Amino acid sequence: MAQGKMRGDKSSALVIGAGIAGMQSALLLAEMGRKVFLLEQGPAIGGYFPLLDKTFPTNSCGVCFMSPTPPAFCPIYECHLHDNIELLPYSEVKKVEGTGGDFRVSIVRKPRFVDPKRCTLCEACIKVCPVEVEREFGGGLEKRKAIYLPYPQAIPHSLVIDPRTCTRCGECVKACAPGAIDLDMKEEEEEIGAGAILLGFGFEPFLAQKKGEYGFGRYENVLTSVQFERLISTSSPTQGFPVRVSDGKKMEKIAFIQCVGSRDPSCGQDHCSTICCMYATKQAMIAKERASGLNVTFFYMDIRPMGKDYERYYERAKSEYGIEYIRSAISSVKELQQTKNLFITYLKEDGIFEEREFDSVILSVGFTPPQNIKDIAGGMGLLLNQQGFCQTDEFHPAQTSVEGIFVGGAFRGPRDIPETVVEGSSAAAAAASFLAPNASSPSRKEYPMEGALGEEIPKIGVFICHCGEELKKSLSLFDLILGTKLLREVVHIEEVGLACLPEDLDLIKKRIGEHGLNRIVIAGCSHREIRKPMEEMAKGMGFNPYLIEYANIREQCAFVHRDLPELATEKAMVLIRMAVERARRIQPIRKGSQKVEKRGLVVGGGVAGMTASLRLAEQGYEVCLIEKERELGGNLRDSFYTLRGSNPQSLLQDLIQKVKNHPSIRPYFETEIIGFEKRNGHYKTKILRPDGEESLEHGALILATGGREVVPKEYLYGKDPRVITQRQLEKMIHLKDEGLKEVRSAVMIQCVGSRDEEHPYCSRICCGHAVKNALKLKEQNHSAQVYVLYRDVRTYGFYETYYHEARGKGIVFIRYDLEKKPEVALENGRLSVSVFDPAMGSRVSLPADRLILSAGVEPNDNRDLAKIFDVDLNPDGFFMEANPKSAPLDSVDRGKFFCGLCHSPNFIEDSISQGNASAARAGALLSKEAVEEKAYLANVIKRLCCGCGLCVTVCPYGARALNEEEVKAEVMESLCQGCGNCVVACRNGASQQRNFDKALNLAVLDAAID
Amino acid sequence: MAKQTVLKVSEGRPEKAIQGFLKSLLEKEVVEAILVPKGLPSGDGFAQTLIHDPEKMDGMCALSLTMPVQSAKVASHLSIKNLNKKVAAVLKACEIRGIVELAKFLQVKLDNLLLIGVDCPGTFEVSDYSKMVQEGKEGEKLAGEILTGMERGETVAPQGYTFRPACRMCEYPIPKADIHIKLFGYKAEEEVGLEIEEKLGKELEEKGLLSFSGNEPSSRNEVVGKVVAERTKKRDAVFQEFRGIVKDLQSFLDRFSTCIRCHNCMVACPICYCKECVFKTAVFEHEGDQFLRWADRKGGIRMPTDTLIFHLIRMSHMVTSCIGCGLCDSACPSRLPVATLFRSVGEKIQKMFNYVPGRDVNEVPPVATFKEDELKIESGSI
Amino acid sequence: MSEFEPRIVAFLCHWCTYTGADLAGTTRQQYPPSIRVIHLMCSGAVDSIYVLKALIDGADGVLIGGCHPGDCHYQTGNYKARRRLAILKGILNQMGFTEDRVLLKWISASEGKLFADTVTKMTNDLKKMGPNPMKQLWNA
Repeated sequence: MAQGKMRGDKSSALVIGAGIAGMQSALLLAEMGRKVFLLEQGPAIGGYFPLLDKTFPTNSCGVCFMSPTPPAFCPIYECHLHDNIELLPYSEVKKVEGTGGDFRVSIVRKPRFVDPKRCTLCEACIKVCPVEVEREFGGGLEKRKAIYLPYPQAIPHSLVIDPRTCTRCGECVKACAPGAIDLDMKEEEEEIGAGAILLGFGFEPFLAQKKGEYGFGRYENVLTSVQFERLISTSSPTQGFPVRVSDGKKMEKIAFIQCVGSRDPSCGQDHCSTICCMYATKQAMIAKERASGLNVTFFYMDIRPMGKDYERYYERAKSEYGIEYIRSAISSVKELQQTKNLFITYLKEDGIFEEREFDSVILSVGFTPPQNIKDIAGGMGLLLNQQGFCQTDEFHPAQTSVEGIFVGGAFRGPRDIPETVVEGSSAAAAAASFLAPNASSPSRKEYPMEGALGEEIPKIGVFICHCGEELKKSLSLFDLILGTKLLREVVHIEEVGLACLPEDLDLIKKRIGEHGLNRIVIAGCSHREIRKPMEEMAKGMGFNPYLIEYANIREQCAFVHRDLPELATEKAMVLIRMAVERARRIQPIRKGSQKVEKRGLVVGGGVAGMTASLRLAEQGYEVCLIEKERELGGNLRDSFYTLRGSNPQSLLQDLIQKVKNHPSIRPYFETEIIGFEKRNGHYKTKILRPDGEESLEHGALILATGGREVVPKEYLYGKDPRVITQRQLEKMIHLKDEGLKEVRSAVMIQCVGSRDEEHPYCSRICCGHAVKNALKLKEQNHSAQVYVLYRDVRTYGFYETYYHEARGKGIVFIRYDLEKKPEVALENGRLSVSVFDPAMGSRVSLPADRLILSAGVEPNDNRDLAKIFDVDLNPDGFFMEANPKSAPLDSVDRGKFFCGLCHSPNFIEDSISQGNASAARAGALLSKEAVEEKAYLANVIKRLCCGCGLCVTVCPYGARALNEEEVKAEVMESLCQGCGNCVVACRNGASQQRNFDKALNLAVLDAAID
Repeated sequence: MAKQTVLKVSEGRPEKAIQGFLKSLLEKEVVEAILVPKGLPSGDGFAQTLIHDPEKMDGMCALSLTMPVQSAKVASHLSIKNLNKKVAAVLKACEIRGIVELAKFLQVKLDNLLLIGVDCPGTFEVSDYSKMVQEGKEGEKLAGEILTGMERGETVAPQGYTFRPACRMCEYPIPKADIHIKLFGYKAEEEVGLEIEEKLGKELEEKGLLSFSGNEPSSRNEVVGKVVAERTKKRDAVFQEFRGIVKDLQSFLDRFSTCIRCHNCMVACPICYCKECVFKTAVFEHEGDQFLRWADRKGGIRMPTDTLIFHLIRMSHMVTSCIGCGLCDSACPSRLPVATLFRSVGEKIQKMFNYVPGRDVNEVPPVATFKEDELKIESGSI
Repeated sequence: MSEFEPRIVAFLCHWCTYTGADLAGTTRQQYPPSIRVIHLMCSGAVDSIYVLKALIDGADGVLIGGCHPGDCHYQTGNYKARRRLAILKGILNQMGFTEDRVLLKWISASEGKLFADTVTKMTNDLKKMGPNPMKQLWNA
């Protein structure tokens, strides 16, 4: 066993688990300048994300927006590209020693048996491998060999041998031309030093076999939702077209059974898995889009789309997609022998049994903690909760029970991608705060100076790489070299074997010197594969990396036209000609930078705003915290206890003390925002204080302007003093109000000002609040009868256990429909509520000594602020994010973030996570001395510009402005992302883009036509 | 609500009455200057003239019978940089529609521009009109006859003369303006109609410029309807004929093969606002041996190159905003049916976005916006 | 005489479709060698000039590949591309290019197979349409 010396130190971070939370934490810490080790037990990073094709609620992918520096590739690839991230795939933690701030972690690097540096993915080995097994990816629906690529885009982009199934026959070794396979590779042990550890262990899907009555494993056409997700992915063998497993026929009538391994103490899973309602609805929608005429039926208990915009999504599923939802309990699933169809018997709400036949059944499996988590947790001294997920304090959601170890994502409990992204960021913020005092950033690599960037006559060197002989199978390199010789301004042509390896890179370097080359064309693999080593080589010798062009004759030619060598060679020649034509016209780019104003502006001093301010301040930035009231706290001031039993008032005092005592936080009270200006690289906000105006310059903006309880308009609210809201009740309970002792019967009505026409969204927290207050009421007054009238009980995640408890304590839950809302009557001075009880099939009348309305959450009126700060609001008045999936707290404009109730209705815990997370996103920006501009910036040829403003209109980033004086357009370089949309909007080419200008593109086009 | 009144005409000379009204706008300092067509001293044409001195108003013709330049372009020059004083412009409907389009592209600033629109019977080609005058037809008399025709909604020019093709198929003879001088349906020997935007109307009334009384003649709606209907019919016939002739690539190329790439159409077009056309920039400067390579690839190439693409690109830029003034046709030395092409394509594309160029300055041009949910494309293709 | 081999010029966006085309290679999807890929940052950066020039200069077809709606890495470039092409198609139609020689397709980074299928189908369709008539006609 080999033993290396320890790498990493107190300033670095180790992220364990490279799923969405882990990748997010790693990317943010890396952007903050930290050295990050990203460890993953599997052979490729990414977690469950590569399985997902489309995500809710947009039914697009959108995960690329997750990177802290958009536009970007998907986070898997960005982690691979990031200079500060070192991937440790196929590795496991053996031992954690030391304490917070100074961990020493022993890890084991499992042998891949394939050297990723040498593997060219020619797949010759796969052809000869005799072992075929079920492919883990996608739940075992497909097959793979013992040597395999985990999934097509896997990072590291290399094959791996599964030692459990490999027979060591050695055929692959013989087949491998570059000699990348070594069956005697041994595992290596290594020690990593880190100041903080972040856990992104994630979850595992519930094993559907455990619910034997649904027939998974016995009936071919019963699938888990993991398998169905794979089936409807466009990268599946059927390209996403849903077919039956038993006979490959088109699916026509399918059923989803919800809560398989959720809300089910009988299989040890008493929690709600939170996202199954949504993911199953998404799968149903996508399946219906792929296969028209597909009938989908859901069998469910409560439907729980609580996230931002999820309620609308659910409504769309019903109205636009015609998906049927039946509230029921499954009695049995039976397979019909001949057709292998499935026969479902279910019990409806009204107590009647019904039966239906389906051709496939999908089990919406819940979330369980990762396997072996108890051992791992034991080794770290980590406490787990009852359900086996990571235990965290309610008001410190990113902090585990061990100092210096942080957590985010599904390892804390089931959650969707947006929340996971938020928590991955939140963990990064907590870790950054923890690391801050004693850690320095890793030093940046120094490169030699580049030569002058004057225009010179191109001297192009073309290197044609045959990729370890692989390309010679379909291309005639001889012809390509011959043809390339005829191209203008090409002064050197050479064949190389593996341009990505140091030997060949050194050779190219040598040739640059020998021939005075000032443009390089690499004809070989995609630039996505080779750009990194090439640019590194170029920078190392002071050669401008933007003077390297790539002709993709591997992925886009040799690999895809294997049996047509002549035509493939002809095409490769055109591709080289196009690259040379580009190379002739490109200019060196030296990226500019804009100084960062290392100050954050936080608007709103509630729990989210204060949290964000503290995290930013702890990272070492100045913070201006703007509060419109006289004191801090916001809604937290009116919150007295939580469902989980924490005390919000002590949190409030704690936050206020910390904010007031932190030397870097400047709170402004009774202050309004009156102006905002976008400068190149920073912002300038004008505020109005009681004693006058002031201008603040800042590099990041966090909006935490909060929300409020909806004022009910119905059920005699405001007309009878006995009709109150949950919030009022909470205060009465807290103050031990005498009036409550008299209460014999209390009725709570849910969804008041939620899920209706005026507020067509779910307020997420009201079910939890109702359960909380009902339990408290019972606690203070045992004899009180409490009724909760609900539409769906949405006590998601671990809150489900409290709902369970409430029912056990005799609190009565009665469901009602929007069409049959409860009616409140006042007779002889007594209040009573009449409601149709679907279980009894008749109306019941409930006496109500107190009627408590679960009023929803609405945002404060942010229209003016949105206008001032140039950010968007969604139709419900909440701030609108750049991407609801993977950039949930970011605005499209760089440097503006949202958190707390102004973003969406949330519990305190989630608001804290959001506050942390927005501080991490902001911190990733502020941590830099200067914002580096993008390479391919747009520019304006003033002489040609007519000032028509079209470029300003089309720019998605607000990077364009019209200079009113000159009537000319301008580019704010720090904001320009180089998309080139403005170039096309401009009619006469006044708007151009570096190395993508119209003349250049036309020349390449000309070279493309033969 | 706009306010209605009439200008009383004496001696059967409506132009005099209009002149008087415009003069009073200058005298009462409602505006600093007025842009207005004025007869040339030679009598065989008109030119847009910016008049500051009320006394110089004599000889102006609200109903100029030619349109040598599109005043939308003039308005652009006038207002794009620091026009701080109020200027009025007497315009035809298509000129105002051009101004509305240009305003959307920030090439006209409407703040200090007072638009005076005149009902338009159609215009003659500059050369035709000059010939008519030389043939002894007196301009004023011709105008008189046309005005008489306008009372009835006549769409054909008198005495066998013909209006420009674009005018004959123009379905927007009625301008939308701050001040609208109405001729259709009016007995111009006695009175012409005046419709003034409310706020401005109040100002003029307070300054004693005029008083509001009377309604438009009951026949006007019908007369205007007749004109629009006849021209629309003409337009559809022209489209049909054009689409019949230009039905495939071959016939398209035949039709445009005589283009000499003079770019006159572009210069005349009120919507083509670029300071310098992309075809004159470095984007279309080719290396010498590039031409040889093209000639090699195709066996031979037409010189100068980039003739066809010039028309197509110009169309892709302007076609959604084409208001159909037809000045491109008038400017073409090879008599190519540029305007018909633009209008014929424009009709379809404008319909696609439910967009009418020149209708409303607050409408966003199709090229400047998009909808997430539009142009549904089946599994990704249009 | 050999069979007519269409030539397609493709403008692919950097983030989605170009990556999807790479994936087609990694997964060894086979498709006809008819396509010449020009790499741009965004489908919203495809100027109508490029498309027209390609057709006039004799390309038999033009493919524009962008991110799916909602997935554009530059937020909305694909929507702008779609509108621009709709206008262009109106023009091409009047010009006599009545067949669909220009295709706009949303292909994500994970849709290698879709990319290959798209090229295959487009090549077959173009074979049926025959060569771009521009090649024989006016040599503009």
